[in-house]
Amino acid sequence: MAGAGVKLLNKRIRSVRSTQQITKAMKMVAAAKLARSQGRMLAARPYSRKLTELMQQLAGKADIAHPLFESRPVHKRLYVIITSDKGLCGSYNTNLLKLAHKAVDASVKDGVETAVYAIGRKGTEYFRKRGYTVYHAHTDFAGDMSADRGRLVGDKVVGSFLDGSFDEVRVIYAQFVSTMTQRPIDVTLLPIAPAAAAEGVKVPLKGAAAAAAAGPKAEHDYIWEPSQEELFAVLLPLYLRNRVFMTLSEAFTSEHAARMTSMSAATENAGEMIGALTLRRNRERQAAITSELLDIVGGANAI
Amino acid sequence: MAKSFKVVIVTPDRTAFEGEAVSATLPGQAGYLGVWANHAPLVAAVVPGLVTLRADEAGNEQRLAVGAGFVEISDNVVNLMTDTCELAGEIDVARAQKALERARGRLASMEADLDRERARMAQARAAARLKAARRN
Repeated sequence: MAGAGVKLLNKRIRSVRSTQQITKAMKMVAAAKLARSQGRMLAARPYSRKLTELMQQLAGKADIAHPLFESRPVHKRLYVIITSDKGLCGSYNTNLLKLAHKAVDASVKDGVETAVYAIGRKGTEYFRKRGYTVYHAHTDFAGDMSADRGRLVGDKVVGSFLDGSFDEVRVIYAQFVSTMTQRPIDVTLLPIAPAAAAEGVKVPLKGAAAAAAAGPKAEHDYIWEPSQEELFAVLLPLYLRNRVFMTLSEAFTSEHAARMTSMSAATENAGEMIGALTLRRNRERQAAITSELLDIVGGANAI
Repeated sequence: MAKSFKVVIVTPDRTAFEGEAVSATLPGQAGYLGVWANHAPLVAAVVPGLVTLRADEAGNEQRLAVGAGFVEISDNVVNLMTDTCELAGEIDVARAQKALERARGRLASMEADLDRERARMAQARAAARLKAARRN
């Protein structure tokens, strides 16, 4: 007969095993979502790159002014903070929120009226609970990007900048470095700094002021139709919307990557735990058998 | 001198078309633009409409319906950035027809909160789709 300790260990092994099954399934789901999200991000790059190139060419022309370029003294600042809706993705949200909290506090300390535009349930709850001004929140994106969502967020942000609700808009999100690494960063979205028009999109930029002059296709003397100013007015909103879209898709790709990595680690840990527990159970069972045998032998000797 | 040029059409979610053409017609803001090989460098706004690409001298044509965007031409490469792009064969005629009617209806109804610009764009897009599909 096995002892009570063995029974208990068997129960624990079963429980760890069922947890492992769950984490394994979640890892698989995250991997599938990551692949899709990453594919979409890569498919969107050519468009984004072209748009940025064009933007660089136009932004360098000194005679162009646009309300979205206007840098005002910052009295009111908006932080767009992109987190996930669900947990179980390791330190993804923790790292993001640590950076975000610090940035928001620093902004408040500078005497700037600061509000949070939270995308993702984790960030929304975090800042609501701590009594920060939450300007707007989305908790239904579920890590899935679409053009409509990009437009929704983009229009909202641009609108609040243009009507003077905010003088500066910054974004905090997890940059996708690789499947294993996601780095939280803090970038300015608005006003658009002409020299930094290429920020965030991987196009080499040679020097700030010389951006347009030394740009990839600067040797061409383009015919502009209609005028540069008119083209610019149409291009800017498109460019901005695209930046928001790219930022969101990158953040969501990071989320899936973080979840996949952490669920993979959890599955491994569960495996190790099962191994250790099984070893202990076997030892105990053997010890129980040995002591029973000793009892029998001892009993037989006594007779 | 090169006789043909490269055409790349990109949309926010994919590279919709990539290929060679001897001539192309694009829906520019001020009317259709004809493009042949060795075109002068140009950047132009594109409105929803029909893109026609002739792949060879024999007149094999390809028609696509595109949305609003930009075209940039340099070094015998035509780069078209647009919201949407559909090959003539991919177009759902019934759906486009419905969209066109809906947009027309919206424009005709004098609702105060109507986003006219958007309705007009929708109408232009639907019309372009039908045009591209019809001539097949």
